[in-house]
Amino acid sequence: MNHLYKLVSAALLFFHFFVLAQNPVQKPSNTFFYMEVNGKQLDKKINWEKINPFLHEIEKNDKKKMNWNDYSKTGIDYTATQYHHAVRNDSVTSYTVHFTINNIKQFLDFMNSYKKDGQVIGQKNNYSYVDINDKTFVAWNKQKAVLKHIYYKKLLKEEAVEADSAVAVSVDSAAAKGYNDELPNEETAVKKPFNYKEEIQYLKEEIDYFKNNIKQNQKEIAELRKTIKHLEKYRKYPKGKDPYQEEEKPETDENSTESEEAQPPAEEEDADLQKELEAEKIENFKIVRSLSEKYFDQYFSNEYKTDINARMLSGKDANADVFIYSNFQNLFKNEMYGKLSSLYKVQNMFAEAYNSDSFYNIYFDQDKVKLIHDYQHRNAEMQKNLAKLYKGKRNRKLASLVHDQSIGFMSININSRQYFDALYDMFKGDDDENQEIGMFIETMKIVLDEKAISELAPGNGIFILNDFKKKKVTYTDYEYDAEHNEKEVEKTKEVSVPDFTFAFATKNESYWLRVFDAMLRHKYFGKNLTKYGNIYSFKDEKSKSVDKMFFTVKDEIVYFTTSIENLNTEKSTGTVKNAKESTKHALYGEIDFQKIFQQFEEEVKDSKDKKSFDYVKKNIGTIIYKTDAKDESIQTEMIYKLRNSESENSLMCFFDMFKELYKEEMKKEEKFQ
Amino acid sequence: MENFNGRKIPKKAEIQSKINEAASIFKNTKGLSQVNVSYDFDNYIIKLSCNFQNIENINTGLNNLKAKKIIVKSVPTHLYSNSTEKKVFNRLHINTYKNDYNQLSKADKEVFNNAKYTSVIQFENAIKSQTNAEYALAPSKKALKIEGNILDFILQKKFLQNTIYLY
Repeated sequence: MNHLYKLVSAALLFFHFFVLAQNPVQKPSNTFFYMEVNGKQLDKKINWEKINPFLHEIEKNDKKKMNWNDYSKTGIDYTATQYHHAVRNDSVTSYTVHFTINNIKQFLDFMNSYKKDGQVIGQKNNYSYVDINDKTFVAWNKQKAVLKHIYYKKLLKEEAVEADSAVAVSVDSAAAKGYNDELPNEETAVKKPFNYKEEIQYLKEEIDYFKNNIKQNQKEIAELRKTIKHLEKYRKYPKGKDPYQEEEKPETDENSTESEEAQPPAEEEDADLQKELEAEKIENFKIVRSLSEKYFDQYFSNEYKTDINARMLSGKDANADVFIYSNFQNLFKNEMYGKLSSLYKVQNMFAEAYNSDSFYNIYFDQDKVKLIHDYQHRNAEMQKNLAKLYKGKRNRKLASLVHDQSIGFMSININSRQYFDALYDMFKGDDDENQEIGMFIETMKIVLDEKAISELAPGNGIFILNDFKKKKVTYTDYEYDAEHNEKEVEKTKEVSVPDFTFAFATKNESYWLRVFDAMLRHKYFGKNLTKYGNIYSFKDEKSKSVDKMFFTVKDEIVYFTTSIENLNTEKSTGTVKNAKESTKHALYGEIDFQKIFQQFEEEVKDSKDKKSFDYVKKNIGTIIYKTDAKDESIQTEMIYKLRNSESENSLMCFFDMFKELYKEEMKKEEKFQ
Repeated sequence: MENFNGRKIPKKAEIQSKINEAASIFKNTKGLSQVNVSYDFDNYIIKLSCNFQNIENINTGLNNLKAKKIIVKSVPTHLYSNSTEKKVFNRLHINTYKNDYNQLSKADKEVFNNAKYTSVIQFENAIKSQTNAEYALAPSKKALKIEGNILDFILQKKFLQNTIYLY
């Protein structure tokens, strides 16, 4: 737990510490993430008198004594802008931070506290450097410092298929003692010769399992890798680690293709493997250190001059507290979808989808946090079509469904007809020569009647979370009588289920009515469906979440709702300010988290959890979300409005909330130790 | 929901296939009979029950599950021993999961906070004495039950091992 908070606090520190003066930094072309932190503005918003004691509290369990006691005095100039960037190629991923130093003595104290004990600080012509750990390096002179974190992954070669056969290791019949004699298949399975290749495959699958499921289980992964290396080399498990040992009797010499004499002692095998692993680790370290030094040499000998990419900065607002740029095209194309796209010939679609620049400007204001995201597709035609997609017509009828008590809502006003053009562009990409894709698009255009489809749903819709209602659900529990005989009992409990309305505009009412009528006659759906006048009702008593749904078509609006009362639009005041606002934007949403927390109050029973829950419930605010097509981008504005905040500003409000939750979590940790 | 706390949630069919495979292995284990499986996917209660000639047959069954990779290597399989001559039944000591638990993320740890563990052992003959007082003795003296929050067992506030002497 403590590690988590240390990581977060370290991130906060880096967020604030690592800064750079006026010169922009080198950013290779395969940069997928770039960030500038406006130190001049943020420095005024941070209250070190609050943060310092808290950081010391987190650090208090560390045995290592720090050489400084004030996190605001690390020798780093906080008032300068910070520059961060992340770069990825086939085998190397790196994250670099540049910062400015205003007190070299304080900075050296800071570095001496963070570096490993006994680690010598290296000296080059124009800078000093040290490794913080196997992957993180810091270099500095009197004015500047750079931190580089590099992850190197050796590319694996295709495993050669070995010509020699697997070692046949027979299993003594006694191993199958527990099996029924009538079942030859199971016997055969148990007697199957040990196949080291299968075993390697199985262990590799186990590694995947640990990778996917238990991030912290690095030790286990290392152990399995070690075992794989052993199996590859000796074609059997290390002594004492054989998982089948309980079932197998010791092998006899005539059944074993490898004599015991040919095998080195277990300790020797272990030492050999340990050596190989150590050598691999050292090799990786040498590679990442050499890459870091190359970067440091270039940076410090080039007067910090860099090859700045103007495109990355084109979306920056100088008044923002933080600016971020990202372009994940290469990352997704080469890493995640590379193999998939080459298999299915849809590389253009994936490449096109991510061939875009995203610019984020973040503002920590007094009473709110604001994030403005500008999305620009690099294909001008595609961007033009996306902009048209986001310019839908207004629909006031939908906004009138929102009422004062609504917890939140999300509306959409787009031009659905334009969706098809955007989709065709995505498939087509820039590759006009790809005849297969061209054919596919032509076929789609013939098959789909875009005009008719867009009339079914022209692009205006709204989802409203009206409330949460209590519902009794049954569940199975077990009880025991005096003689400890088990008895299955059915119990009931109350759960909160959402009460919502989803409605969208249509220009083809009769189509939807025909769909609903068809469902009414359907063998499966029809069982739970009834029709009252123009309203269709779906009921499923067994459902634990949404057990009823009403739907209808009225005045060119299709409604789906969990409560029939929601269809009575007269009860809606239609005066909710932001509901009217929703008609002005392509996407507009608002959600009051406090109202949601209030609904789940009864479900938090543990007193320790309740304290944290009550704190969040009291202080959590509202989010407003809106998206519109601007001149050259699709712009999304997200605002988090603070509630009951006694903090200096929104940045310190997050810190205060984090601190409060940390305190409660620490109490809980103590309880379970 | 495909994932929970970053872990893949198996599909119903995958669960059924795995449990059926386990049942098949139990059926083919000498001494185990009447192997039954029941699924309640409303409450997610899955039962695998069987009769045994000797309690050690269960150990063998579990070992067979391990050999077939139905259960992972870290799951203990040597759970019980019984001496009919000496009339002593042993619930054996198993390795602690404390370190594994401590390595889990906070979100994963929370899953265990309200989880309960109950174990019942019933005998044909009456119980003379036992070494673990956490087990509650039935009035007929023919059954024992131990229950608690799963964390009591993981963090070793309660222990499962017990030596039971029978009449």
